[in-house]
Amino acid sequence: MIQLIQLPALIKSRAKTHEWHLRKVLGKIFKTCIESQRIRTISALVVIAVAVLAITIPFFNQAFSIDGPLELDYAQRQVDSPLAQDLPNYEYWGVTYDSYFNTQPRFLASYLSLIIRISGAPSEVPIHLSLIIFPLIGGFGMYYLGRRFRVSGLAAALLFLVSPMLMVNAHGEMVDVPGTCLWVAAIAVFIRAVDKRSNWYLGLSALLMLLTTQTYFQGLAVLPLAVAYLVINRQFRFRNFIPVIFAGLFFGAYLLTLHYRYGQIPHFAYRRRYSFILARLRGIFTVLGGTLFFPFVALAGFIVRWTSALIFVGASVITWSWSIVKYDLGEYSFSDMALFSIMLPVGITVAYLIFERFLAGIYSSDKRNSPEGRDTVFLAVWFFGVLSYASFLLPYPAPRYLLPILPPVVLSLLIIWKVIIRSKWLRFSLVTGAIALSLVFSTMLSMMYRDYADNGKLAAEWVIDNYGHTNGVWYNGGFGFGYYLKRYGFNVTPSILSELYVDKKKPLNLAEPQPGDHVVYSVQNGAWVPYPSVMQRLRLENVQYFYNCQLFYMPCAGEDVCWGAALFLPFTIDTRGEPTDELMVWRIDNKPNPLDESQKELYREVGITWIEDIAEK
Amino acid sequence: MKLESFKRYELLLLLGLLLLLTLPFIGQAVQHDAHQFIEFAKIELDHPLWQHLPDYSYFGDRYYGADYHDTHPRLQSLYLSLWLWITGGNVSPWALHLEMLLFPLIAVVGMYFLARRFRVNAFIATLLMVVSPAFLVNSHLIMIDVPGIALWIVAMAFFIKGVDDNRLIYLAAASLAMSLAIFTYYQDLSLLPLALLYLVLYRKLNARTIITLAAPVILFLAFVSAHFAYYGQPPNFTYTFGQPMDLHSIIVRIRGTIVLLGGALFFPAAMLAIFSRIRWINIAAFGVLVISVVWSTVYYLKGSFASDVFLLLPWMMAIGVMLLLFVMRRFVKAAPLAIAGTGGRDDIILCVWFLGIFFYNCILLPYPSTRYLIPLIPPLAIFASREIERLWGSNLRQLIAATAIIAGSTVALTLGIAVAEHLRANNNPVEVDWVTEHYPPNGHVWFNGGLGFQYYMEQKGYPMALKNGDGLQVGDYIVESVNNRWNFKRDFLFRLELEGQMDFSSRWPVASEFHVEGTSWLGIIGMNIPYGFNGDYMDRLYIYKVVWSPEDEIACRAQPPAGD
Repeated sequence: MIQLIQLPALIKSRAKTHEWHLRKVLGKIFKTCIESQRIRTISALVVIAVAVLAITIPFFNQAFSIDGPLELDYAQRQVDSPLAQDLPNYEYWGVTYDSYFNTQPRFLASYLSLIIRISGAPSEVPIHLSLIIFPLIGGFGMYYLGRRFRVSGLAAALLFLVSPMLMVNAHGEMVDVPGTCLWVAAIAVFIRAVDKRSNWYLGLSALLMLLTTQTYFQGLAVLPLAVAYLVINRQFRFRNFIPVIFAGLFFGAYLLTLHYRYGQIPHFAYRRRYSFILARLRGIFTVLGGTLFFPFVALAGFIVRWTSALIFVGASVITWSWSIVKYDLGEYSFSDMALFSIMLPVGITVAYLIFERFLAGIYSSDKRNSPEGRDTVFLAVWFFGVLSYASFLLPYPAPRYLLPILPPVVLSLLIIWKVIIRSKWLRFSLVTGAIALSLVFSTMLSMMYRDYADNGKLAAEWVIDNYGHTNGVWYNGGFGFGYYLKRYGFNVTPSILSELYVDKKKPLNLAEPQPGDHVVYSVQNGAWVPYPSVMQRLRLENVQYFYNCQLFYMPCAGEDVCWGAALFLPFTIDTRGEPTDELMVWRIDNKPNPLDESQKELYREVGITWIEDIAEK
Repeated sequence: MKLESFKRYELLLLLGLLLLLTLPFIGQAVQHDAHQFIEFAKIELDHPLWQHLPDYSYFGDRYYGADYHDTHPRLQSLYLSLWLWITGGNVSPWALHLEMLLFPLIAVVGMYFLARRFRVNAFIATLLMVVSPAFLVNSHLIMIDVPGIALWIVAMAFFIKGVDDNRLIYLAAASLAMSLAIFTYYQDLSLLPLALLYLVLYRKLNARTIITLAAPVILFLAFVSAHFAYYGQPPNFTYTFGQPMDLHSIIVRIRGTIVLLGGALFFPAAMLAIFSRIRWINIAAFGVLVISVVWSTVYYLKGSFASDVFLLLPWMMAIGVMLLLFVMRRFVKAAPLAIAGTGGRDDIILCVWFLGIFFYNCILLPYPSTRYLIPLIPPLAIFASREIERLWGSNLRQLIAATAIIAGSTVALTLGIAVAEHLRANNNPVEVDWVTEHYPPNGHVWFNGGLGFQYYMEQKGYPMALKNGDGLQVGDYIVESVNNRWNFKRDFLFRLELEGQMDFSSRWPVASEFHVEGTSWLGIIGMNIPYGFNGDYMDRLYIYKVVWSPEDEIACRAQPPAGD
C-alpha cells in the first residue's frame, strides 16, 4: 500500500532523474559536437559546398564566351583522340591553321571531353555543372590553408569564393579557375604533408601539382612556391621535394613528347598587347584593388597602420590628379574617374602592406624564429611571385590572370584582423560584413559578365533566325558569337593574316564571299581584317543593337575597359544604357563600292587607320 | 654700437645691407631666361594651370601648339602672374625686380636662423651669403635660382627646428616650404634626401617627420601625374642639349664647377685666407696651381686663352680644389663620429649638402653656371664662419677686422660683376633701339638672338629667324647678336651675306660675358672663367642680307644662256 501511494512520487522522481540524465547526455553530445574538430570540419565543408553551389548554380546556363569555345573545341577533339594536343585544320580568328596549338596544356580539355562523352554534345548546363568541382576543391583547399595559417578556415574559404576575381570567372569555361583551385589544393596538401610528415598527403600533393601544371602554364609557379615554403621553414628533407620533382619531371616529359610528336614545344605566352611596363603595372594594381573584394572591404582590411594610410592617401592624391585632368579633357567619364581613383590606390595599399609585413616577417623569423614571421614571409613570396610574373610574362592585366594572388591576400587579411581586432564578436561581424558585401558586389559583376556572354549567343541566334535560311552567309567575329555560328554551319570570312600563317608550300585555297552573299560582323566579339576583295565590296544592309541592362558594364571590343583584358579598368558603371554589341550585316556587291562613312567605320574597327588618306586621295 | 644692441639688430642690418646692394640695380633690363618667365606669367593670367607656351619660338626653333615646355616648374611665374594681375600687367623691369625682392630677403632671414642652429656666428655666415657674388649678382635677375635657394634655406631651417624641438607647427611649415621649393625649381628636390639624411643621422624617423617629407613628395608626384595626363609626357627636367654623359664632357663640367667654386662664391684671396690651414690640402692646391699654370700658359701661347683666362683660371682652379678637399676632409673626419653616434652629424649634413650639389652640377646640369651653385653657399658660409671664428675669434677686434676685410673684398668683387651684368643687361634695349633706328621693323628684318635680346626685339615687333630660314625671302635682313645667337642650318647659311657689324663696348673693367674667350657669368658650354677683364665688347651685332635662294638657282639654270 505504501509502495502504491509512493508510486507517483517514485515515478516523478525517476522521471526527474531520467530527465536529468537525458539532459546530461544531450549536453555531453552537444559539447562533443562543438569541441570535436572533425564535426566542425564536416560542418564547414558542407557550408563551403553549399556556398559553391549557391554562387555557381544560378549561372549554369551562361553562354560560352571568350576563350571558353576554344577549350570546348579541344575537348571535342579529345573525344575522338584522347591524347591529341592540337587542333588540325582549325580556323581561329579567320585564319585556318594546319595544326593549331593553344597556350595551355590539355588537362581541362580532357576533363571536359569526358563530360561531352557523357552528355553527348557540348552544351552549357552539363559543362558548367561539371566545372563546379573546381571551386569546390579550391574552397576546401582554402579551408585547410586557413586553419594552417591559424585563422578561421571557413572565413578564408568563403572570402575566397565570394571574391569577384573568383566568382565571376567561375562561371566561364577557361582554365584559370580550375588551375587556381588545383593550385590552392596542391599547396594546402603539400604544406600539410610537410608539417605532418605524411606520405599519403605527399603523394596527393604530387598528383595535385601535376594536375595544376597540366591545367595551365601559370601552374608551374606552384613548384617554386612549394620550394620556397621548404626553404623558409627550413624543411630540407629530400622526401619533401618529391612532389616538386615528380611534377617537374612529368612536365618535362610532356614537353619532350610534344616536341617528338609535333615538332614543337607549346606556346607559353602570346604576344603582349601593351608593352609599356608602367601601364601594365597600373592595370594590375587597379584590378587588384577593384576585384579582390568589394573595394572598401580591402581598404578596411589593409589600412591598419599609419604607413599604409599614408600610402593610400598619397596614391589617392596622385591618382585623382591624373583622373581629374582626364575627366576635364573628356577622356574619362565620371564613373571611370571615380572607379579608377578608388581602385588603384586600394591595390597599391594592399601590395604595400603585404610588403611591409614581409619585412617585419623577415626580421621576426630571423631574430626570433617566429612561425608567424615565417608564414608572413611565405604569403608575401606567394603574393609578389604572382605579381611579378603577371607584370612581366602575361600579355595584359586581367582578373583571371591574378587569381592565384587571391589566397595569400585572403589569408593576410584574416591574419591582420586577428592581430589587431581582439574582440571575437567584432571580428566575426567584420568578416561576415566583408563576405556579404563582396557577395553582393560579385553577384552584380557576375550578372554583367553573364549578359556579356549571353549577348554573343543572342547575336548569333538573331543571325540564325534572320539569315539561317539563306545560303551564303559568312561571319566575322570570334568568341561565343563565332562559336555558335560555326556550330550552326555558317562560313567564316577568311582573314588577310592567312597569308602569314599558312604553309607556303601548299596553295592557299580560301573560299571567299561571293556577290549577293552576306557577312555578319559583331563589334563586341572582335573582328579581323578580311581580304581587300571583300572589304571593298561591302555594302551595309542592317545594324542591330544589343543593350546593357546591368549597373556594371564592360565595353571591351578593343577598349581598355574589359573584364577579360583590363588595360584600364575591369568594368565601369553604365549610366546611359550603353550598347553591349553592334551587329552589322553587310551585303557583297559585284564591284568595289565608293567609300562611305559606314565602311570607314568598319575599316577603323578592324584597325585600318590609313583609310582617311585613301579617301582624300 | 654696443655688442648687445648690435646682436638685437643684426638681422635688420643684414636685410638693410641686402637692400643697399640690390636697390641700385632695380631697373636692370630683362636678360637671360627672364623673358620666358615673363611670357609664362602673362599666359598664366588667363590659364594659370598651363605648363606650356603656345606656338612659341626659342633659339631658332618653332614649337607649335602645346609643344614648348620649360625645364622649370611654374610657381615663380605664377607668383609674377599674381603681381601682373595686381599691377594691371606692368612688366617694367623695376616692377618685376621689386616683386622678386621678396626672395633674397627671406633667404637672408632663413640663413640667419639656420646658421644659429649650426652654432656659428649667424651674422658672419649670413653676411658672407649676402655679399657672395653668386648670390647677390644672381638676385638681380628675374629667374628662379634665388627664389629656389631662398625656399630651400627656409625649408631646411623650419625642418631642422621642427625635428629638433618636435614641434608640429614647424614641421608643417617645413612641409609647406619644401612643397613651394620643389614647385619653384627642380633642383630643390635635393632637399628631400638631405632632410631624410638628417632624420636618419639624428634617429628622428617617426610618423610626424616621415609625413612631413612625404607631403611634398606626394604633391610633386601628383603634379607629374597631372602633367602626364594632360600632355602625354612627364615634365621637362632637363635641357636637350649640352648634357652628354661622355667622359670628356663630364671632365669639362667638373673643371668648370671647380673654377666657379674658387672664383665666384667669395673673394678668392679671402677664401685662401680662410681655408688654407691644412698642410696637405695646401700642397695639393699648390700642385693644382702649378699644373693649371703650365696648362694655361700653353693655351695662352697657342692663342686659345686670353690674358685674363691665363691669369685667373689657375688661381680659381687651385682655390676651388682647396675648398673641395677641405669639405671632403671634414666629411671623412665626421663620418666615424656620426656612425658611432658621438658627434659629427652637423658636419655630415653640411658636407653632404655641399658635395651633393657639386656632384649634380658636374653630372646632371648642362654646363657650369654660378646660378646653379647658389645652393652651395649656405654650407660654405657656415664653414667659413666657423673657420673665421676659429682663426680670429679669440679677439673681438681681430674678428671684426677679418670679417670686414673678407666681406669688403667680396663686396668689391660682387659689385664689379654686378655692374658688368647690369650694363650688359641694359645693353639689350640699347641694341634694339639702334636696330630700330637703322633697320625699322617692316616685316623684312628678322633677328637671331635669344634671351634678353629676343625679349626686346619681339617687343618692337621683329620676327625670329628660324634655323632653317623658313619665311625669309631674298632681300630680307637678319640682325644677329653674337652673345645670344644660334646657328643656322647649312643650306640656309650659304644664302647669307654679311652687310655690316656694330660693336657695343663698355668701359667697365670687369667683363661678365665674353663667349669668344669662354668668359661667362651665367654659364655656357666649355666655360673658362666666370668673369674677366678682357671684353672687347659687351655685344656685337652682325647684319646679314639674304641674297639668293635655291629657286633663284633653278630659275637661272632654266634660262637659256645670253646670245641664244
